[in-house]
Amino acid sequence: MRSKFITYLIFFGPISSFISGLLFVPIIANIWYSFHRWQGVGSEPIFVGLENYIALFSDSDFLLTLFNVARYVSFILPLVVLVPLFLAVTFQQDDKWSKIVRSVVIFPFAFSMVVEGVLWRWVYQPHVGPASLLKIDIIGNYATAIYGVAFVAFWQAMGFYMYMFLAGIGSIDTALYESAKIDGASSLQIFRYITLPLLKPTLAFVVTMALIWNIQTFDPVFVVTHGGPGFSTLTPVFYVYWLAFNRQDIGYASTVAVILLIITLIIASISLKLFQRGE
Amino acid sequence: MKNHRNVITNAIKLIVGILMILLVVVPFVWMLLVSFQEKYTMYYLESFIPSTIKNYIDAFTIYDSSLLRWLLNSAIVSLFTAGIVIITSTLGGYGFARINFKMRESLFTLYLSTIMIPFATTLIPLLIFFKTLGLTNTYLGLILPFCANIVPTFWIRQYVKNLPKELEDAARIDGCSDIQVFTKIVLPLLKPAIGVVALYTIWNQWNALLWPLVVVQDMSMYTATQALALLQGGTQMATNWGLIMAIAFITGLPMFIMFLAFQKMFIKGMVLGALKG
Repeated sequence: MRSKFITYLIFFGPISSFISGLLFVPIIANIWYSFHRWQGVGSEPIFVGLENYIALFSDSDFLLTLFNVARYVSFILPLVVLVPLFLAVTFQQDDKWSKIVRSVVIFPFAFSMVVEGVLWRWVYQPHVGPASLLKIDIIGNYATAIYGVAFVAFWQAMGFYMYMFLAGIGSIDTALYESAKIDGASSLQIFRYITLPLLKPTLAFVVTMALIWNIQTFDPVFVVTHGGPGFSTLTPVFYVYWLAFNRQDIGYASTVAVILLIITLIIASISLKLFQRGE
Repeated sequence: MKNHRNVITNAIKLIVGILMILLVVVPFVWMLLVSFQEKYTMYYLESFIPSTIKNYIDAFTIYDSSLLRWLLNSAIVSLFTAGIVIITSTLGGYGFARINFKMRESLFTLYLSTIMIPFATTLIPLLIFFKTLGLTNTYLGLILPFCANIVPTFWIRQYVKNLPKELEDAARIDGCSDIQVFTKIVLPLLKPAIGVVALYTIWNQWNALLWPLVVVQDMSMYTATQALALLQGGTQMATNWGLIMAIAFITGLPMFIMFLAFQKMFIKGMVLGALKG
């Protein structure tokens, strides 16, 4: 019995202590903080019940971050689904050209958003950057800055999503394609009636993960626009960071973090439900 | 008719391929060109011809020669995280694949659901805990949160599940304990998966921004990625772009080398591992 206990401890102990100590306990602590007024680590937290949650509704900056992230996600989601899917279908064969294109497209994914955000800040320079050909200052404009940032995030991750789809396509039985070709189906028909329906699990996974990741966007915003111009690219995670570390408002920052968790869980489960229903 | 169709398909492949390559390559080439320029302004670029390596020399000497230290910090932190994650994920992955107990699958599902938790939701408590424990501005402080990642354990679990069980059973009949079976039989078979876990963890840690920003304030403890993000944040007019581009290139270089050396392993692990759920 004792040796059995030691076996469990060795195999499950390390991962369980990390997951509990550094994820589960902090989440509970975060929820607890959200019911307090707590200005700075040095001061005493004061229990205020739901005060922080009520304050959220009249906080125009918080509502703005939700609006910003909604614009961000609605721009990037179609991009990271449609473009990589198209690329995966176009370059699925193992000819030399396809291989070259695939490894170039995944290339930006190897680097940090920070390195690439710096690149793109320069690309977006309205006077000498490549984007100056467009004659607009994309990231200096209130209306367009968030899309400029989202495009950088898409550019970085497109190869990753393409490989997701390639893996999904690779798991489809090639005999299905062969028989469809013999029956004279066009490549568009093959895509519509064979590839797309069988890619549904991949699609569900990609959409759900893209939602979860992009709702939490921080790195590209921090580097490319730093939330500006004005607050036009401030996202919820950036807001949490700013509240906690610039304004030292730990209780309220924790409240925003709780709301972010709830939104993420709701959207992820809706996304998965929708795909399950379609089956 | 069939030939006609093939021509169109190939033309699409060619054009789309070229466009995608340009989209990826142009920003990188632009970075390199700017990094070799001495005279540049936001409004005017004198020429595209590389003319000086001054920015690369400056990169290592400016800010009290801190860049080397920052790169070293990133390397130390990434390698140690990888080491810890390899230990926890092989043990945990094997456990969740082979060692039975009641509720094992529900416990694993609970752990796996943590991939949905926004880091922002654990950020503030982690910082407060770490401040209390004196872990801010330390390597351990940078490392620990990246060890609480279930993804590598998930990969190893999948990998172990696909291994034939006969070898392990034979070893058990010969009187090996679970731990001996793990170290003598299973661990050597896990080598390719361990490689993937190491690459993924190093990549993840090297490129991280939010946590280093929060837990490290002391300039000598910055990671390279963090330092780059903070250095480039000045106003665009005042920013020394040639220098920033040189630092960006140097910061990205280790990932570039890793990518070239292990491309297949890197991609396979990330993508297939994620998909098998």
